[in-house]
Amino acid sequence: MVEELLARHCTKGRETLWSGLPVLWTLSAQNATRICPGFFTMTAIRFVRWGFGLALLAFQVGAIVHARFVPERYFCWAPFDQQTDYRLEATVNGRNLTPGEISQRYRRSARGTDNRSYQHIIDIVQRTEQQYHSDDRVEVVLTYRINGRQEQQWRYQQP
Amino acid sequence: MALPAALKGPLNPFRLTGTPMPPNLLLMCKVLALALLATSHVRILPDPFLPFFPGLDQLTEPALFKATLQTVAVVAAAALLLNRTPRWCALIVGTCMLLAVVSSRAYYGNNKTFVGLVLVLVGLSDFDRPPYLLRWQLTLVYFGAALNKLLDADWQSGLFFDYWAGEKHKQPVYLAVSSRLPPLLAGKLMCWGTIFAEATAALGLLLPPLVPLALWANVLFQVALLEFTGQTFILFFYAMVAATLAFVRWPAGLQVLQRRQKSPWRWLRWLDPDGVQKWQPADPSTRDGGDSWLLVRQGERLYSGIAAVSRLLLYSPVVWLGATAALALGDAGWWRRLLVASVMLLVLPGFWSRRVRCSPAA
Repeated sequence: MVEELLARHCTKGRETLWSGLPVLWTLSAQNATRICPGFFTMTAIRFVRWGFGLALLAFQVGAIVHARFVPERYFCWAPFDQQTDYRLEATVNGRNLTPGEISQRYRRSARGTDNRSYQHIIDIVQRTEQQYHSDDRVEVVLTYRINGRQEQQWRYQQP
Repeated sequence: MALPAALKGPLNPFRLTGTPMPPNLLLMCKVLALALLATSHVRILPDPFLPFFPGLDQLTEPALFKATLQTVAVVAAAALLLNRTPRWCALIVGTCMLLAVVSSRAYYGNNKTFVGLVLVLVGLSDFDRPPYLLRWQLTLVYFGAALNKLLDADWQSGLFFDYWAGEKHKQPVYLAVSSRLPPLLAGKLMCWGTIFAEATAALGLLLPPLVPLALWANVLFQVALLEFTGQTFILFFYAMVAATLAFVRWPAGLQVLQRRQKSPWRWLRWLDPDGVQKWQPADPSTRDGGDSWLLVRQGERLYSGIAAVSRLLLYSPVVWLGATAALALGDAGWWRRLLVASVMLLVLPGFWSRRVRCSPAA
C-alpha cells in the first residue's frame, strides 16, 4: 500500500512528496529509490526547508521570552509599544557635536521620537562609542520622556 | 473579446499562473516586491552598523556591502514580478531584508523584519499544502504584540494611546471623544481594544475554524490603523495585508454569467490576465440571481450585481498590484486614507452581499 502511495505521489512531481519518514520506516531505502527516483534528494530538501523555517520561528519565540527579562525589545514584535521623545547631546574630546554630527555618529536624529523601547537609543549610543570610537573622550546626555511622562536623563562617559 | 497578447505572456507581471508557486502566494510576494521597489525602500537598505551578529561589519567594505544588497534585492524583486523562479526570488529578497535588519541596529524595524521573514518563509514552504509556516509567523507577530502590550503599565492604564493619539497625532476624532469622557477612559478603551484584537488574531490563527475571523481581525485592524494615522508604518501595512493572501483559496475559475449579449461589464476581463473569469451567457430559463445584470458563480455560491463585480475585483492581481503601486507612490495621508477606503468599499460587497442558492454549475 505504501508502495502504491509513493508511486502515485512521485508521479505528481517533487512538491507532492511529503511523508518521507513514514515511507523510509515502511520501505527499504532501495525500494523507495526504485519506486521514486530522487526520493532521498526530494525528502532531504524538504526537511532542510522545514528545518530553516522552524528555526526562524523558534528564534522569535526565544526573543519574545527573552524580552520579558531585559529592557530591549529586539525581534519580539513590540512595534509602537512606547513613544520615547528624546534629545541627544554629545561632547567628543571636549567639543560639542552639532545635530548633524550626532546624526552621522549614531545614525539617529539629535532630537526626535522613537517608537520602540527607549533602551534602543541607549544601546546604540553605548555600542557606537565602545565599538567604533573607543579612543575618544566622550560625554553623552540623553534626555527622554516615555509616553509623555516626566523627563529623565541618562549619561554616558568614556573613558 | 480576446485579451491582448502582451497580457498573456509568461513575463507579464500581472500573471499569477504558470509557476510552481500557488497564485495567492505569488501575488503576496509580488505585492511585497512591488512595495519595496515603488516606495524606493531598497535605497535605504543599510551598510553594516552595530550588527546583531558580530563580524558582519567587518566582512567587506561597508559601501560594497550596501551596493551588493541593493543590487541583489532589486534584481530579485524585479525577477519575482516577472514570474522568474519565484521560490528562489522570494528567498533572495527576503534574505536581503533579513540581512539588512541584522546588519544594522539603526535600520532595524519590525516591519522590515516581517517582510523579510514572510518572503523567506514562502520560499521555504511546501506549495502542495497550506502555508503553515506563514500562519505560525503571523500568529507569533500578533502573540508577541499582544503580550508586550498586555504587560506594559502604560497600555493597561491607557496612557500610551492617550499620548500617542492626543499629543503626538492630535487626532481630531480621538480628541473630540476623549474630551467628553473621564480622563484616560478613551485611551484605556483603545488600548484594551488593540490588545483584544491582537490576541484574537493570534488565537484565531491557531484554531482552523477561527482562521477567517482572525484574518478579518488582521485586515480591519490594519485598515483602521491606516485610516486613523494616514501612515503605512513604512512596509507594515503592505506586509500585514498581503500576508492575508496566503490564506485565500484562489479560484481556478469563476463562471461569469451575463444577461445581455453585449454586457458593459466586459472590460473586467482586462483585470484578469490569467483567464480565471469564464464569461458566458446566462441560461434564460433559470431565474437564479433574480434580474441581476451580472452573475458570478464560484462553486456552489452565486454572487449578483455589485457583489459579482466585487468578487471579480477581489480575485484580480491587477487590482491588488495597482492599489499597491498607487499607495506607494502617493505619500499624502489623505490619499492613503481615500485609496484604502475605496478599495475596501470595492471588495467588501463580495463578502457581505446576499448569496443566492443555485443549482450546481453545468
